[in-house]
Amino acid sequence: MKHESVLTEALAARRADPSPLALFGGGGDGAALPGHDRRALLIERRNRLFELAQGRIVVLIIAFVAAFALIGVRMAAIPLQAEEEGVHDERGEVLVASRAEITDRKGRILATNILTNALYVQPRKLLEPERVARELAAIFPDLDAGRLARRFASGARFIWLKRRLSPVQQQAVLDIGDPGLQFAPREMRFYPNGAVAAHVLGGAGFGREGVRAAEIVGLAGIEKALDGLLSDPARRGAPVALSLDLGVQAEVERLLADAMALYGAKGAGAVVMEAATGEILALASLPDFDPNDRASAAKAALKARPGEGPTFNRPVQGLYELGSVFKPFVAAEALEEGIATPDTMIDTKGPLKWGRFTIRDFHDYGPRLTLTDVIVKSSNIGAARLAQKIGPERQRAFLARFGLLEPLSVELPEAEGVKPLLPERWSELSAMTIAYGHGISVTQLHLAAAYAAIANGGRKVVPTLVHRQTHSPGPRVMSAGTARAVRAMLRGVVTRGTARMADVPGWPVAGKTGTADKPKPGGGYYDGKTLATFAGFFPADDPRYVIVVSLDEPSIEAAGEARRSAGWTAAPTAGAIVERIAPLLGLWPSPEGRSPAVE
Amino acid sequence: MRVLLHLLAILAVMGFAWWAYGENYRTRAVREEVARLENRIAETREEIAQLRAEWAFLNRPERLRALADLNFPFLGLVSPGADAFAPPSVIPFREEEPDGGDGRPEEPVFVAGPGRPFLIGRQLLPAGVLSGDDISGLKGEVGR
Repeated sequence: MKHESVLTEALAARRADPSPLALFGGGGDGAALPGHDRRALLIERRNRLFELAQGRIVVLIIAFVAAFALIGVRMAAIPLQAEEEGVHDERGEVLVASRAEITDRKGRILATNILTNALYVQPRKLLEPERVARELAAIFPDLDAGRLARRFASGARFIWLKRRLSPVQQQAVLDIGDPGLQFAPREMRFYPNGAVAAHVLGGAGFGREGVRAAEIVGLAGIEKALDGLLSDPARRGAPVALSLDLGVQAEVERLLADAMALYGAKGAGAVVMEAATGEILALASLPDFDPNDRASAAKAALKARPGEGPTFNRPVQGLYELGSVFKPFVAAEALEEGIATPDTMIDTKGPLKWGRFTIRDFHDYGPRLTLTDVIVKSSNIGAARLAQKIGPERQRAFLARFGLLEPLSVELPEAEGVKPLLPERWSELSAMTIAYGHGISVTQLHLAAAYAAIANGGRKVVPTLVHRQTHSPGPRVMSAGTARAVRAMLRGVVTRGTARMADVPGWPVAGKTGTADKPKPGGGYYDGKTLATFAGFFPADDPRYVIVVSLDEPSIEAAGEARRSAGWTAAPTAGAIVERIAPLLGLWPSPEGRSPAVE
Repeated sequence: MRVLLHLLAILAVMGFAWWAYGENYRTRAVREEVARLENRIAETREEIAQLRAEWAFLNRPERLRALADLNFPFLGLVSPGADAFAPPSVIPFREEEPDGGDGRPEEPVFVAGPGRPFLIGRQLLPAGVLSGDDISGLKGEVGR
C-alpha cells in the first residue's frame, strides 16, 4: 500500500508538471518554495522512489528464482518420469510374435506365423467397377463377376473379399490397379509341414477382425487347447515345445499310409510314446488333412460317417473294443495278486460256456497252457478263466489304476469327454470278456498309456503332448517284478507267438496283437470286419518307447486266404515303424542285428 | 570487481543455455535414432520369422524325402537298418596311406552294410567306407 500511495503521489506530480524530470523531482512544481526546502523535498522524494524500486527488484528476484527453480525441478523430473513411462517402442516383438510358434521337442517348427494380406473393396473409390469385377473373378475362381458387380453397385462402403492372399494373387490384384482395391495386413498361421501332425495341431482361424490386424484363434487340437498360452502377451511369443518329434511323426505317418494302402484299410492310427514320462512322440491318424486349409477338411468331415472323416483323431477320439491287447492286464493282475506264476497251468479246454454265452479260441490250444503261453498264443478261454478267479470288482479296480476307465487329460480338446465305454453292470461275464478285450471300449491312447506302465516297470503315466524338462514318477500300479514278468511274456509273443511279424533285426520288440470284430451299431458283431491292433514297446530288454498301431478293416491275401488278423497286418506295420524310427530316436541296435565286420 | 562478477555470471548463464540447448537436440537425435533402430529391429525380426518359416517349409519331411528319392542314383540314400550300424572297431582303416598319413581316412561318413552297396555317380561301390569327397553331384530341386 505504501508503494502505491507513493506512486500515486508521483504520478499526480507528473500530471501537474509534464516535464520528463518531474518524476525524479527535477520539475518546476517546487519553484515557489525556498531553495533549501525544495532541496530537502527532492531528496526525500528520491529516497522514497529508491525504496520503491528496491522493493520491485526484490519481488522480481523472487519471481525469477521461483520460475527457474520450477524449470530446474521439471528438468530433473522429466528424464526420471520418461524412464518409467518407457519411451521404448516394442512394436517389433508384439506384432511379429503375436501368437507363439509351436515347435517339436527339438525346436523344429510345427506352426508359425507369416504375413499376408486380406483384400477389401471400397466401392465408392472404384474407378471401373465392371472391369474390376471381371478381373477379380479371373484371379479368384470362386468369385462370380456378375455377383461382384452387383455387390459393388449396392451402395456398400466396405466389402471384405478375401481373408488372405498368396503373394501371386496379391500381385495380380495390384496389376488391376484400381484405387478402390485395398489390402489389410494379416498375420496368418502357417503349418510348414503340411499334413504332418495335423490332428495334434488342429488348426487356427481368424477371430475378431479389423482393417489393420486380426486376431488368430485356435480352432482345434493343441492350437485350441493351448490358445491362452499361445496368445499370452506376457510370454512375448516364446515358442511352445511339444513332445512330438517331427522326423518320427512324419515317418510313422508315411509307413502307416503305406500299410493302409497295402491292407486296403479304411483308416489307421498310431501312437509312439516315451514309456517313462508319457510324452507322445508321434500321434498319427489317417485319413488326415492339411491344417493350413482346415475349412475344406471340416467340410469333408461333415459328409463322412461319424468316426471316419479326415478331422477325426482316431487314437484320441476313437473308442474301440481292442481285443486281445487287453490280455496282458489280466496276466499282470494274476501275477500281482499271487493267483498264478508265469508257469502256472491254466485250463484252456473249450468251448467255455457261460449261460447262453460261449467263449471260443481261434485255434484249439489243447486242455491247458502255462500262463505265459495263454498270452503268447492268445487264448481267450485262458484269459476268461483267469478273470473268473480274479473277480469283477478286483479287475475293475486294477484297470482303473492304469487310467483305463477315465477320459484322458491329454492337451487336446478332442479328448475331453471321450469316456471309455464300460459294461453297465460289471458282472462275472463282463469280467471274462474284458479279460480278452471285448465289452470295454477305450482309445488307442489309453492303451498306449497302460502299456507304458508295463514297459516302465509298473508306474502309471499320463499321456502328454507338451515337452517338459522334468516329470515326477506316477503312482505304482504293479510291482516291478510283475512288470518284468509280463514284459517277458510279451517278448515271447513276438519271438514265437502271434506277433512274429513285428520282429525286426537289431531292435527287439515286445508286444501283443489284438484282432477285434467290429461291433454292429444295432448290437452283435460284423463277420469279416475287424480292427487289428498291435500294442508293444521297444527295445524289449530295456523298454524306452511304447508303440500302438491300429488298422481299421485291413485284409490281405496271404498263403492262399484272406488274412484280417493283427498278426498279419498291424504287427508287420509296427515292426516296419520300429525299424525306421529306432535309429531316428538314437537307439543303438543290439549286437546281433549290427553289421558284421566289414571286409 | 562487481562488473566482472556480473559478466562472469552472464557468461555462465549463456554457457549453460548453450549446453542445455545442445543437450536437448542431442537427446532428440538419439531418440530418433533409437526409434529408427527399433523399427529396423522389428523389420529384421519380421524377416527372420519369415525366413524361419521358409526354412521350415523347405525342410519339410515330404520334400526332403522327394529330394532323396530324386537323387537316389547319386546318393543311394536308404533308411538305415540295424546293419548300417557298427562299432568303430570293425571299420577297416587302410593300412598304408600313399602320403604316409596315419592310416585313417578323413571324415568317415557311411558304413554300408553288406547288403547295402552304395551307388555313387555311375560307380557301384562295394560296402566300405566313403569319405565326404565322394558325396558329390547332388542335383535336383523339388517344386513346392
